[in-house]
Amino acid sequence: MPNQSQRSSKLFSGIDATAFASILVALLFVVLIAEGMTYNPHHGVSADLPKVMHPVPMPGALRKDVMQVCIMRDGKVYFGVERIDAFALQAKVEDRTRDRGVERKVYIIVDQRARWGTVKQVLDAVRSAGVIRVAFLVDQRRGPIPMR
Amino acid sequence: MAFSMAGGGPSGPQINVTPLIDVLLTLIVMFMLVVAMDSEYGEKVQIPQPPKDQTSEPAVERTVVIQVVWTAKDTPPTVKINQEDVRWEDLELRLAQIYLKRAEKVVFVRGDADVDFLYVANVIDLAHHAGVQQVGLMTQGQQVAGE
Repeated sequence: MPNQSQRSSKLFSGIDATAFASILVALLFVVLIAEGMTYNPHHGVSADLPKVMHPVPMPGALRKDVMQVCIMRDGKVYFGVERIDAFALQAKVEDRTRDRGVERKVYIIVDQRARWGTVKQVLDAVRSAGVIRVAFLVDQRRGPIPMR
Repeated sequence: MAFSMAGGGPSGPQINVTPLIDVLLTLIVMFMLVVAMDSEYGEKVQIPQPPKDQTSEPAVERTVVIQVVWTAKDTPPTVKINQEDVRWEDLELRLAQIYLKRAEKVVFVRGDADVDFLYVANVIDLAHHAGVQQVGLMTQGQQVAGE
Protein backbone atom coordinates (compact mmCIF):
# COMPACT_ATOMS: atom_id res chain seq x y z
CA MET A 1 0.00 0.00 0.00
CA PRO A 2 1.60 3.34 -1.06
CA ASN A 3 2.03 5.99 1.54
CA GLN A 4 -0.03 9.21 1.57
CA SER A 5 2.57 11.46 -0.08
CA GLN A 6 3.18 9.12 -3.02
CA ARG A 7 -0.52 8.75 -3.74
CA SER A 8 -1.27 12.48 -3.59
CA SER A 9 1.52 13.36 -6.03
CA LYS A 10 0.28 10.87 -8.56
CA LEU A 11 -3.33 11.94 -8.31
CA PHE A 12 -2.61 15.66 -8.52
CA SER A 13 -3.84 17.10 -11.76
CA GLY A 14 -3.60 20.63 -13.09
CA ILE A 15 -6.59 22.88 -13.66
CA ASP A 16 -7.61 22.91 -17.29
CA ALA A 17 -7.17 26.59 -18.00
CA THR A 18 -8.09 26.17 -21.65
CA ALA A 19 -11.78 26.16 -20.82
CA PHE A 20 -11.35 29.30 -18.75
CA ALA A 21 -9.52 30.96 -21.62
CA SER A 22 -12.28 29.98 -24.02
CA ILE A 23 -14.90 31.54 -21.78
CA LEU A 24 -12.85 34.72 -21.51
CA VAL A 25 -12.43 34.95 -25.27
CA ALA A 26 -16.17 34.45 -25.74
CA LEU A 27 -16.89 37.07 -23.06
CA LEU A 28 -14.55 39.56 -24.70
CA PHE A 29 -16.27 39.14 -28.06
CA VAL A 30 -19.72 39.44 -26.49
CA VAL A 31 -18.74 42.69 -24.74
CA LEU A 32 -17.11 44.08 -27.89
CA ILE A 33 -20.06 43.26 -30.12
CA ALA A 34 -22.68 44.41 -27.61
CA GLU A 35 -20.95 47.73 -27.00
CA GLY A 36 -20.36 48.23 -30.70
CA MET A 37 -24.06 47.77 -31.37
CA THR A 38 -25.38 49.91 -28.56
CA TYR A 39 -22.79 52.61 -27.91
CA ASN A 40 -23.44 55.05 -30.69
CA PRO A 41 -23.95 58.45 -29.12
CA HIS A 42 -24.57 60.42 -32.28
CA HIS A 43 -26.71 57.79 -33.96
CA GLY A 44 -24.75 57.88 -37.17
CA VAL A 45 -24.89 61.65 -37.66
CA SER A 46 -21.94 63.62 -36.46
CA ALA A 47 -20.91 67.24 -36.56
CA ASP A 48 -17.92 69.35 -35.65
CA LEU A 49 -18.95 70.19 -32.10
CA PRO A 50 -18.03 73.52 -30.54
CA LYS A 51 -15.39 73.30 -27.86
CA VAL A 52 -16.09 75.09 -24.60
CA MET A 53 -14.23 75.32 -21.32
CA HIS A 54 -16.77 74.21 -18.72
CA PRO A 55 -19.26 71.68 -20.08
CA VAL A 56 -21.14 69.35 -17.76
CA PRO A 57 -21.55 65.59 -18.21
CA MET A 58 -24.72 64.56 -20.00
CA PRO A 59 -25.24 60.87 -19.28
CA GLY A 60 -28.83 61.13 -20.51
CA ALA A 61 -27.56 61.78 -24.02
CA LEU A 62 -26.40 58.16 -24.25
CA ARG A 63 -29.86 56.72 -23.71
CA LYS A 64 -31.20 54.73 -26.61
CA ASP A 65 -34.59 56.48 -26.57
CA VAL A 66 -33.12 59.97 -26.45
CA MET A 67 -34.61 62.74 -28.58
CA GLN A 68 -31.62 63.97 -30.51
CA VAL A 69 -31.52 66.63 -33.19
CA CYS A 70 -28.44 67.28 -35.29
CA ILE A 71 -27.89 70.52 -37.19
CA MET A 72 -25.17 70.39 -39.79
CA ARG A 73 -23.02 73.22 -41.06
CA ASP A 74 -25.02 73.44 -44.29
CA GLY A 75 -28.29 73.82 -42.39
CA LYS A 76 -29.51 70.24 -42.78
CA VAL A 77 -31.46 69.02 -39.78
CA TYR A 78 -31.65 65.41 -38.60
CA PHE A 79 -33.94 63.89 -36.01
CA GLY A 80 -31.91 60.87 -34.96
CA VAL A 81 -30.70 59.63 -38.33
CA GLU A 82 -33.71 60.84 -40.25
CA ARG A 83 -33.32 63.96 -42.36
CA ILE A 84 -36.13 66.30 -41.49
CA ASP A 85 -37.31 69.79 -42.21
CA ALA A 86 -37.03 72.15 -39.25
CA PHE A 87 -40.74 72.88 -39.50
CA ALA A 88 -41.70 69.19 -39.47
CA LEU A 89 -39.70 68.67 -36.32
CA GLN A 90 -42.52 69.83 -34.06
CA ALA A 91 -44.75 66.90 -35.04
CA LYS A 92 -41.90 64.45 -34.52
CA VAL A 93 -41.12 65.74 -31.04
CA GLU A 94 -44.79 65.80 -30.09
CA ASP A 95 -45.11 62.22 -31.25
CA ARG A 96 -42.14 61.09 -29.19
CA THR A 97 -43.20 62.94 -26.05
CA ARG A 98 -46.48 61.01 -26.00
CA ASP A 99 -44.39 58.13 -24.71
CA ARG A 100 -44.23 58.64 -20.93
CA GLY A 101 -40.88 56.89 -20.68
CA VAL A 102 -39.08 59.33 -22.92
CA GLU A 103 -37.16 62.12 -21.22
CA ARG A 104 -38.82 65.46 -22.00
CA LYS A 105 -35.57 67.00 -23.06
CA VAL A 106 -34.07 67.43 -26.50
CA TYR A 107 -30.36 66.98 -27.03
CA ILE A 108 -29.11 69.09 -29.91
CA ILE A 109 -25.88 68.51 -31.75
CA VAL A 110 -24.94 71.64 -33.64
CA ASP A 111 -21.95 72.06 -35.90
CA GLN A 112 -19.91 74.93 -34.54
CA ARG A 113 -20.14 76.73 -37.88
CA ALA A 114 -23.90 76.30 -38.24
CA ARG A 115 -25.87 79.52 -38.41
CA TRP A 116 -27.72 80.55 -35.26
CA GLY A 117 -30.74 81.30 -37.45
CA THR A 118 -31.11 77.59 -38.21
CA VAL A 119 -30.74 76.73 -34.54
CA LYS A 120 -33.48 79.22 -33.70
CA GLN A 121 -35.85 77.52 -36.13
CA VAL A 122 -35.19 74.18 -34.43
CA LEU A 123 -35.63 75.73 -30.98
CA ASP A 124 -38.95 77.23 -32.05
CA ALA A 125 -40.13 73.83 -33.26
CA VAL A 126 -39.05 72.17 -30.03
CA ARG A 127 -40.74 74.83 -27.93
CA SER A 128 -43.93 74.59 -29.98
CA ALA A 129 -43.93 70.87 -29.22
CA GLY A 130 -44.07 71.72 -25.53
CA VAL A 131 -40.48 70.90 -24.61
CA ILE A 132 -38.55 73.65 -22.87
CA ARG A 133 -35.52 71.74 -21.65
CA VAL A 134 -32.74 71.55 -24.18
CA ALA A 135 -29.08 70.59 -24.03
CA PHE A 136 -26.42 71.38 -26.58
CA LEU A 137 -23.80 68.69 -26.84
CA VAL A 138 -20.28 70.13 -26.92
CA ASP A 139 -16.69 69.09 -26.57
CA GLN A 140 -14.37 69.94 -23.73
CA ARG A 141 -11.72 72.46 -24.72
CA ARG A 142 -8.37 72.79 -23.06
CA GLY A 143 -6.98 76.12 -24.16
CA PRO A 144 -7.83 79.76 -24.70
CA ILE A 145 -11.00 80.95 -26.41
CA PRO A 146 -10.16 81.55 -30.08
CA MET A 147 -12.05 84.83 -30.43
CA ARG A 148 -9.96 86.55 -27.82
CA MET B 1 -0.24 32.15 -11.44
CA ALA B 2 1.13 29.16 -13.32
CA PHE B 3 -0.81 25.95 -13.02
CA SER B 4 0.83 22.58 -12.86
CA MET B 5 0.10 20.32 -15.77
CA ALA B 6 1.42 17.23 -14.03
CA GLY B 7 -0.55 14.05 -13.78
CA GLY B 8 -1.58 13.84 -17.39
CA GLY B 9 0.13 10.57 -17.97
CA PRO B 10 1.77 10.04 -21.31
CA SER B 11 0.20 13.07 -22.94
CA GLY B 12 2.36 15.36 -25.04
CA PRO B 13 3.34 18.97 -24.39
CA GLN B 14 0.52 21.43 -23.82
CA ILE B 15 0.23 25.13 -24.54
CA ASN B 16 0.53 27.33 -21.47
CA VAL B 17 -2.61 29.45 -21.66
CA THR B 18 -1.93 31.41 -18.49
CA PRO B 19 -0.43 34.47 -20.28
CA LEU B 20 -3.37 34.42 -22.66
CA ILE B 21 -5.78 34.57 -19.74
CA ASP B 22 -3.82 37.45 -18.21
CA VAL B 23 -3.98 39.41 -21.44
CA LEU B 24 -7.69 38.73 -21.87
CA LEU B 25 -8.53 39.76 -18.33
CA THR B 26 -6.57 42.98 -18.77
CA LEU B 27 -8.31 43.69 -22.07
CA ILE B 28 -11.77 43.17 -20.59
CA VAL B 29 -11.07 45.35 -17.56
CA MET B 30 -9.55 48.13 -19.69
CA PHE B 31 -12.40 48.02 -22.17
CA MET B 32 -15.04 48.22 -19.45
CA LEU B 33 -13.23 51.13 -17.77
CA VAL B 34 -12.89 53.08 -21.01
CA VAL B 35 -16.56 52.65 -21.85
CA ALA B 36 -17.61 53.61 -18.32
CA MET B 37 -15.48 56.76 -18.32
CA ASP B 38 -16.55 57.95 -21.77
CA SER B 39 -19.44 60.37 -21.55
CA GLU B 40 -21.16 63.13 -23.45
CA TYR B 41 -20.74 66.72 -22.38
CA GLY B 42 -23.09 69.57 -22.94
CA GLU B 43 -24.64 72.87 -21.93
CA LYS B 44 -28.12 72.99 -20.40
CA VAL B 45 -30.44 75.70 -21.62
CA GLN B 46 -34.14 76.46 -21.63
CA ILE B 47 -36.49 77.88 -24.20
CA PRO B 48 -38.81 80.31 -22.41
CA GLN B 49 -42.45 79.99 -23.33
CA PRO B 50 -44.08 83.23 -24.46
CA PRO B 51 -46.57 84.68 -21.96
CA LYS B 52 -50.15 83.69 -22.78
CA ASP B 53 -51.44 87.07 -21.69
CA GLN B 54 -49.12 89.83 -22.78
CA THR B 55 -50.64 92.43 -20.45
CA SER B 56 -50.41 90.34 -17.31
CA GLU B 57 -46.64 90.03 -17.41
CA PRO B 58 -45.08 92.39 -14.87
CA ALA B 59 -42.10 94.37 -16.05
CA VAL B 60 -38.86 93.02 -14.68
CA GLU B 61 -36.27 95.73 -14.70
CA ARG B 62 -33.40 93.55 -13.66
CA THR B 63 -33.58 91.21 -16.63
CA VAL B 64 -30.21 90.52 -18.17
CA VAL B 65 -30.03 89.85 -21.89
CA ILE B 66 -26.79 88.95 -23.62
CA GLN B 67 -26.77 89.77 -27.30
CA VAL B 68 -24.39 88.23 -29.81
CA VAL B 69 -24.27 90.66 -32.69
CA TRP B 70 -23.04 89.74 -36.13
CA THR B 71 -20.44 92.14 -37.48
CA ALA B 72 -18.87 90.82 -40.67
CA LYS B 73 -18.05 87.55 -42.36
CA ASP B 74 -15.13 85.66 -40.79
CA THR B 75 -15.04 88.20 -37.98
CA PRO B 76 -15.98 87.34 -34.39
CA PRO B 77 -19.31 88.88 -33.41
CA THR B 78 -19.56 91.49 -30.72
CA VAL B 79 -21.29 90.80 -27.46
CA LYS B 80 -23.52 93.08 -25.43
CA ILE B 81 -25.07 92.89 -22.00
CA ASN B 82 -28.33 94.87 -21.99
CA GLN B 83 -27.22 96.92 -25.02
CA GLU B 84 -23.86 97.67 -23.42
CA ASP B 85 -20.83 96.53 -25.40
CA VAL B 86 -18.60 94.10 -23.54
CA ARG B 87 -15.31 92.63 -24.66
CA TRP B 88 -15.23 88.84 -24.97
CA GLU B 89 -12.47 88.55 -22.41
CA ASP B 90 -14.48 90.63 -19.91
CA LEU B 91 -17.79 88.84 -20.39
CA GLU B 92 -17.43 86.23 -17.64
CA LEU B 93 -16.12 88.74 -15.10
CA ARG B 94 -18.90 91.19 -15.92
CA LEU B 95 -21.56 88.52 -15.51
CA ALA B 96 -20.00 87.37 -12.25
CA GLN B 97 -20.21 90.94 -10.94
CA ILE B 98 -23.84 91.27 -12.00
CA TYR B 99 -24.94 87.99 -10.41
CA LEU B 100 -22.84 88.26 -7.28
CA LYS B 101 -25.68 89.65 -5.16
CA ARG B 102 -28.62 88.30 -7.08
CA ALA B 103 -30.73 85.45 -5.90
CA GLU B 104 -32.33 84.84 -9.27
CA LYS B 105 -29.52 83.77 -11.52
CA VAL B 106 -31.22 83.83 -14.90
CA VAL B 107 -29.92 85.23 -18.15
CA PHE B 108 -31.36 85.40 -21.63
CA VAL B 109 -29.27 84.99 -24.74
CA ARG B 110 -30.17 86.40 -28.12
CA GLY B 111 -28.10 86.05 -31.26
CA ASP B 112 -28.26 87.35 -34.79
CA ALA B 113 -29.23 84.80 -37.40
CA ASP B 114 -25.86 84.91 -39.19
CA VAL B 115 -23.77 84.32 -36.07
CA ASP B 116 -21.96 80.98 -35.90
CA PHE B 117 -23.23 78.66 -33.18
CA LEU B 118 -19.70 78.46 -31.75
CA TYR B 119 -19.99 81.97 -30.30
CA VAL B 120 -23.42 81.40 -28.77
CA ALA B 121 -22.16 78.16 -27.21
CA ASN B 122 -19.27 80.06 -25.66
CA VAL B 123 -21.60 82.72 -24.27
CA ILE B 124 -23.75 79.99 -22.65
CA ASP B 125 -20.65 78.32 -21.25
CA LEU B 126 -19.23 81.54 -19.81
CA ALA B 127 -22.59 82.46 -18.30
CA HIS B 128 -22.82 79.11 -16.53
CA HIS B 129 -19.30 79.45 -15.24
CA ALA B 130 -20.05 82.97 -14.00
CA GLY B 131 -22.74 81.58 -11.73
CA VAL B 132 -25.84 81.76 -13.91
CA GLN B 133 -28.10 78.81 -13.18
CA GLN B 134 -30.63 79.15 -15.96
CA VAL B 135 -29.94 80.28 -19.50
CA GLY B 136 -32.93 81.09 -21.64
CA LEU B 137 -32.58 81.27 -25.39
CA MET B 138 -34.52 83.94 -27.23
CA THR B 139 -35.70 82.79 -30.62
CA GLN B 140 -37.67 84.47 -33.39
CA GLY B 141 -38.73 87.94 -32.32
CA GLN B 142 -39.11 87.13 -28.65
CA GLN B 143 -38.89 89.97 -26.20
CA VAL B 144 -38.17 89.73 -22.51
CA ALA B 145 -40.25 91.64 -20.01
CA GLY B 146 -38.30 94.60 -18.72
CA GLU B 147 -35.86 94.56 -21.60
